[in-house]
Amino acid sequence: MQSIISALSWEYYARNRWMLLYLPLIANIPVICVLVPLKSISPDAAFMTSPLLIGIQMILILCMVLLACFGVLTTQGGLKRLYRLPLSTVQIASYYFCSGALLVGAQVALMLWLWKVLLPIDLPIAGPVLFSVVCWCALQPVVRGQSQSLWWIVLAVLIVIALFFWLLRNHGIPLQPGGMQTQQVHYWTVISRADWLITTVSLSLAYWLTTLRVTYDRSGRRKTSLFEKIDLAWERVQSRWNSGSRNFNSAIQAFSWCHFRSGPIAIPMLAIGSVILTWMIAGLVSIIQQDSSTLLRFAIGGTYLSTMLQVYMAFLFGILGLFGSSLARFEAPEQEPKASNSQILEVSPFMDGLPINSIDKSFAVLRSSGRATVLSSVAVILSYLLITIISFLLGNPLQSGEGIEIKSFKYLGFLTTSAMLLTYVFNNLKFSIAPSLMRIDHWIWPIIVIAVLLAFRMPLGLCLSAGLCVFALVALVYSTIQSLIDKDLSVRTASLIWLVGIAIAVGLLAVLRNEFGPVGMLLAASLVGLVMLPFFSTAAGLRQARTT
Amino acid sequence: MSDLVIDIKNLSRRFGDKHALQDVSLGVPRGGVFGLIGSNGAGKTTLIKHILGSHYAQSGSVSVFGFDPVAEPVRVLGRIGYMSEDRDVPGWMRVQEVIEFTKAFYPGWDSGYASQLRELFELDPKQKIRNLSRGQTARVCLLLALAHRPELLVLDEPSSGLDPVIRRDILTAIVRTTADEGRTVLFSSHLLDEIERLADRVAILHQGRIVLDQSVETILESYHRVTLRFDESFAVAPNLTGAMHSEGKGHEWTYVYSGDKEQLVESSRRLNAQIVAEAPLSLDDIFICNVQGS
Repeated sequence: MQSIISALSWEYYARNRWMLLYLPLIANIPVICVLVPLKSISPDAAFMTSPLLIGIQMILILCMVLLACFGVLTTQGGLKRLYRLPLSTVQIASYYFCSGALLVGAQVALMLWLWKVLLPIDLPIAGPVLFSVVCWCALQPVVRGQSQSLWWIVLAVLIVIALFFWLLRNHGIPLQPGGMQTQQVHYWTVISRADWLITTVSLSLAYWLTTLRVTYDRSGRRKTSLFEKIDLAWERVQSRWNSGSRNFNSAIQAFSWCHFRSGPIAIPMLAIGSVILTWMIAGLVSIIQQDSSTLLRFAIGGTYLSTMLQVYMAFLFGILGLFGSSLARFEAPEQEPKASNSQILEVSPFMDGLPINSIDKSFAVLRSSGRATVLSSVAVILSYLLITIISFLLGNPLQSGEGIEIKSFKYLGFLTTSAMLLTYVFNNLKFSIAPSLMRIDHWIWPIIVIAVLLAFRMPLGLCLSAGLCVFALVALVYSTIQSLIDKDLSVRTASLIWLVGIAIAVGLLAVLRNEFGPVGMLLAASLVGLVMLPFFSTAAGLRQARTT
Repeated sequence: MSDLVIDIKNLSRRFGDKHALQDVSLGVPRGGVFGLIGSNGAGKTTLIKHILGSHYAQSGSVSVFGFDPVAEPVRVLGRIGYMSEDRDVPGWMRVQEVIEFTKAFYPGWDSGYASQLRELFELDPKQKIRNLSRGQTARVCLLLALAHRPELLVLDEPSSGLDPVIRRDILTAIVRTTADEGRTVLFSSHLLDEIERLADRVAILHQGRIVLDQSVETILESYHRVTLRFDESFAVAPNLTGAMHSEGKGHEWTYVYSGDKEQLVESSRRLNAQIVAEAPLSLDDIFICNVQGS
């Protein structure tokens, strides 16, 4: 067994190498981007431990844990390649189950320690690490095996939601109405007997199910689960109604449809699904409690979470796009992805062989990304609208409640707009934003600005946000000039995009000038710049990706 | 207008330290079937990707229908039907969806012909691509490459995954019909008997270089295997002008030679040898000789 462990560990290290360094860094990006600028808003250390900040930290801990799990899962790759080796199924499952748990736990511990160094937060490490290990183990039965079904993703989301409530109970703000308004925050300093029980039961059950799933997968016994049966039935219904006949008026329309169905469709599906789920839970709880304000509280909270989920999913898809289809399918990087299941359409020879120029292609991609963003945002906006109508019909029960007030449309509007803009940016990460990020010459000016500001002893958050803003501006100017030289856009269209972008940025800053500090202003301006960037850079990015 | 559909001049390509293509010059004439042979990693797919404009020429030039495929992808790809080795049609699409999807890109799409091919290939329009077998997916790819009646059909390992019936009867018929209609077919394959049966002209690619580029007829005529009996015994094969490969021992040695037979006879006479057997070579043998020889 010793040699098997050594061999598998060597294979894991040799196959990934630098990826093992990149993935923890990627997992820390949201933390750096969100918490470090926030730190500079108030010099008061108590600000970082306010309920709002603790709430953000909890979300970030969850994101970080999920990213760590995803990173380890990706670097481990699919287990299928090991089935032909003389290893027992228990050996295969156990090795990846246990080594993954160790890696995720170590990674989360390291990152939390980094948080403690960077920020004035006395975060406990043991609790979140335990949470991360349980998360990893609980997700194993879902992600192991070769099922292509979307239902497994739904199941994974449900598991994560259930575990998140465990985290919320132990760490952060009180799980009760008005919890955000109280000053009582609690850290997960003590691991109780209940926590140990949850851990033991989850780990045992997850291990048993994982081994079972890998055994089934190895023996080729598939489509036995209830989820897969539902999936098959759904497929049969679809086949009955969907003859596959479609009429596309143009190549752009066809390409946009294909791009949308290849990935971005998942974002509105998830946003719409989570909004519907929110209302179902809210309705159910309010009926049980016979309290109309509960309905609105749950609806507001759920819609807020849906908004976050939309951005988070877009970010994940963006990363998936960057790292290629092998990452998306949890396959080992050296393995060829199944040809007929290729998801990332722009890098496939079939798609590259189609006679469509990069300008039309970029238009199709932007249309598809925009469609995904708008659909998911509409779901969120409709939910808020419904909350408003119900609140109005019920005589505004939240006005006299324990603090959650829906009159703050400005905040909700800003949140939804930011989520929409961020979703759009992440949707276009691969061909529009990433090529700019990779250019060293785009980083020279931001680095100079950061260095100058640091020399004047400006707060780190301000320096970083100013750097980001300068980067967005440099990338935007460069891409605009390049797109005009390449004739991807006419001068008129480019001017129009700039005018609209500037108007949005000015509008956003004017509306929220009182709420935003200089860091917020700079981040908002950067966001608008990054939203504008795809219009200028996508065609060039696609051209570059097509021809190597 | 040039009679060459594909005109490649001194094309070289490196991936890191590896030379994928080295000073490749190739001309594919209009009409007929052009076979591209090469062992694994010889550079066949890289060459095809240059023709499609997916790779730019690091040095040298590639011209397809007189256009640079990197600069003018729509003009070039609109006239090409391409079946990739990867068979990478999106798995979530249904057969009919992928047909309708591909149709949107080609103004000259022949829906009647597409339906005819779909029936010939026995493809269920409602089936999802990911649920098809490899052979069925290959048929879908072939259909998509053919249905717009392209001027140039590029088939990268078309036989891979196809069952013998489809390969021998249908693929052969399609390739021949396309060529007989005055259109051009470029296909790469490992199956040399297939190339020998179908191709009018063949290029052998080895380690990124073209080692042979001739019509099949000329190649088959110019390569021979001859067995010579020498008066004296030799430990190593005596050197004969024009011989590419030799094997044997003692008095009897078998040579593969290309070119002028008289030259070989003259050389053997000088070494007091007699021709005891002579036979034509298959394309398979010729390929091995060229690859080993280079």
